[in-house]
Amino acid sequence: MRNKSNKKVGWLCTYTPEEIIHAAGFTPVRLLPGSGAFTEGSEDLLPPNICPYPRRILSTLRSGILQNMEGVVVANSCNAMLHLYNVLRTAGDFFVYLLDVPRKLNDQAVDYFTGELIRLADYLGGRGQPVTAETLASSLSLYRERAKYLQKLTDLQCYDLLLSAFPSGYHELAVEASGLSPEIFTAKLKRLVEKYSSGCRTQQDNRSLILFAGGLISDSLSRMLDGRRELIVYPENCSGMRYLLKKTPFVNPDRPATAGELYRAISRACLEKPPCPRIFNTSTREKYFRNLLDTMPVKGVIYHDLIFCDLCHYDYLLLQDLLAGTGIPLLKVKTELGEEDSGQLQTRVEAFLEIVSQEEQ
Amino acid sequence: MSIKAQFNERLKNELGRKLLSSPVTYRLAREIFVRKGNFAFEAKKKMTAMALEQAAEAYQKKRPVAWTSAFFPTEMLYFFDLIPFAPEVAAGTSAALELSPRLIRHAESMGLSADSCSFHRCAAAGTDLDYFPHPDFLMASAHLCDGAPHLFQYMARRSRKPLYLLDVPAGDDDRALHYVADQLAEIASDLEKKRGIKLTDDRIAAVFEASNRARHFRIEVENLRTEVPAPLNGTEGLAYIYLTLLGQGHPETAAIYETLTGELKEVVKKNRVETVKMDHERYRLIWLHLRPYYSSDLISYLENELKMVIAAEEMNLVHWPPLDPEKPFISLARRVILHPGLGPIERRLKFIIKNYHRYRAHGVIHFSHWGCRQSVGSILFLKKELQKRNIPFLAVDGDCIDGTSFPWGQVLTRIDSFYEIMEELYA
Repeated sequence: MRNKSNKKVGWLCTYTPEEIIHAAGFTPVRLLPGSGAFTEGSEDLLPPNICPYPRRILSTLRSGILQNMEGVVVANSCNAMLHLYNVLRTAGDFFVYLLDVPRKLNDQAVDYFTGELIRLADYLGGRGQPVTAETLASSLSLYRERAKYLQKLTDLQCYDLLLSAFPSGYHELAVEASGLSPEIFTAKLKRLVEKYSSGCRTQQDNRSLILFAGGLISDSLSRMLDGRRELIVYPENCSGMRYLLKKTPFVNPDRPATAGELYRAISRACLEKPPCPRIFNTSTREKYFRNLLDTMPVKGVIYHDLIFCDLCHYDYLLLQDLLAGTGIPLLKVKTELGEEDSGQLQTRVEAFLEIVSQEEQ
Repeated sequence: MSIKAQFNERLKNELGRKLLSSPVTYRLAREIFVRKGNFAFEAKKKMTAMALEQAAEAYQKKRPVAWTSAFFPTEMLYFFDLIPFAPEVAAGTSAALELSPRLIRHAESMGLSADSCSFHRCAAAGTDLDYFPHPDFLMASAHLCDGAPHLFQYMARRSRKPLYLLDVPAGDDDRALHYVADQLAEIASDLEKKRGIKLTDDRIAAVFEASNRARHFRIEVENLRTEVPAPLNGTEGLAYIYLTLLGQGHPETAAIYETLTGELKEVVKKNRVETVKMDHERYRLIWLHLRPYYSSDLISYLENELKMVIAAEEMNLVHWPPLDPEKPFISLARRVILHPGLGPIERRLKFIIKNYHRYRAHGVIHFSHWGCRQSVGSILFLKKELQKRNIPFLAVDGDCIDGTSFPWGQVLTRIDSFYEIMEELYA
């Protein structure tokens, strides 16, 4: 199935199921603070001491930069997102839908979220095309295909292959994946992976890895680490791996699933994705970090503490505790997702990378 | 230096921690703050005694101490004979005792972000420095705030004590109700095992009876406060938030509200009999969110200088139906999900407007605590919506705990301008 419609529906949080938006006949497009992101134009609706992500998205949407936006699905992932939902409804000629997302991961949470997904599908179906078991299964197949290629590209052994097409690495891959229709993006990935399929896994990669943790990053912050082929930059954040490694449920073509089964499968897959700091099962996030530190050649950690993001502030404390005594250096950077502080930040990041490389020698 | 000032001074030095856990301190505090205290109402005296008793129990660890975040249903603690301790309330007390500057500095050294809520920074630092009693259990709710559950996770990791987190959805439908109720049932089941206490019908009935009785008298107090002139001002009223946060399900809470009801009836009767001097109540206000807990002239300036009296506080108002002992978890879950501050902003807006009319108020003031995303996030939206309805609105920017983030000069100017608007509108 290919969505012929140019109708786009924006989304923000990676707990949002793109598959359902797609099945309703829309092209899901993630709203991210791009290079030119600014906060002017949001001051009358959101105060300055709220996370800059919603403030920048509000500005962007109000400026009319994004065309053909039919609506936005705002996941109730944190206080800032709820406030964005509150004010976005007054900001433009598009629908705004609030998707409630549990903070827990257990059967009750999966049940609750399944109900929320059915409501979302009904709502979107009323504005696009009805979401049925067939359309949903078809969209899931497309996203599963995309996930298959993403998985190949996120293998550390394929880092050079990744950089050949996405010079900014995983961040760029995630930004493009979340901004294009799955049909177009999967075709691109397929060409890339097939072209290099023989050489990708054969090289032994001994490069150091910098774990880029914390809140989502802007393009400008990502660019600070561009062009460093001596390093692997691994963004565990939601504009990186927490999005790229999200699973898509399997659809068995021999035994068509009911819509209810599909919603439940999507619900579980969303909640089981690499955990965000918002998730309440504190040990889940701790295990996730421990696994990253134990299984990858992490030589340094840069933590992006998004200003006014309570979730990041406490997540940083967890990582700080986990790294204590490991000898792995940790750098905390704080940004407003813009270009404002890039000069000073660049200096700090470069000094940190120098320390990491010296320690390695 | 007064005895009270000397007491505060001693708490600030290195002996403060020992003082807080000593029974002598509480005997002394009862003497200074309760017996010799100057209370306009007996109810407040009783509440102060209750707060001191709860603090003494928590510090002396007479029974296991359960930390709770704001709005976690405290009936759950009383079911299992746990001593409630609210680190957010303790942070407020630390500001009143002038301990908070030290705690805020220490929080920074622990790695806590200066952007996060100062209530939470003080709570973490106060525990790290042993000023606050360490928890045996931690219970936090995602009711309104992202920060508190994550602070509690951080503290649980450090203390290695059991943590119960209540995930509260934004919706208020049946699915949301059951999602919350199931979590409460699960917490209760785990506490039964850990505490070795069976949650019998009798236990539920006793705690709910206390909670419902308190609710009944709270509503009576609310009704009495709709009277003009106000029988209870905000200087007094804002203190009762303690009972909302720590007293629900405690029999003394009901007794305090019963006493207050009786006292306010007397005030109202007196006001009706005597010639009412309206010059001490020029305008009536609805107060949103909290207040500064350090020494500040804010409320006194409003109420005593400008005669703008706080008729009701958002945090004190009853928004839930009586609890049903036959359906304990559904009842508590209903109170949780019906909180007006939860979910889309229209709920809070509707609640404010309803009470603006109910209390015959002239304006609304929101104390915008810097680190509180929940209350501050939609402040501009609220302002627009209230102004559309010709309801004067003022947001006072500040910090409940950190006095250095409260620009009194600027606030004063804004309050004066707000007063002038009221004069133009109503004079």
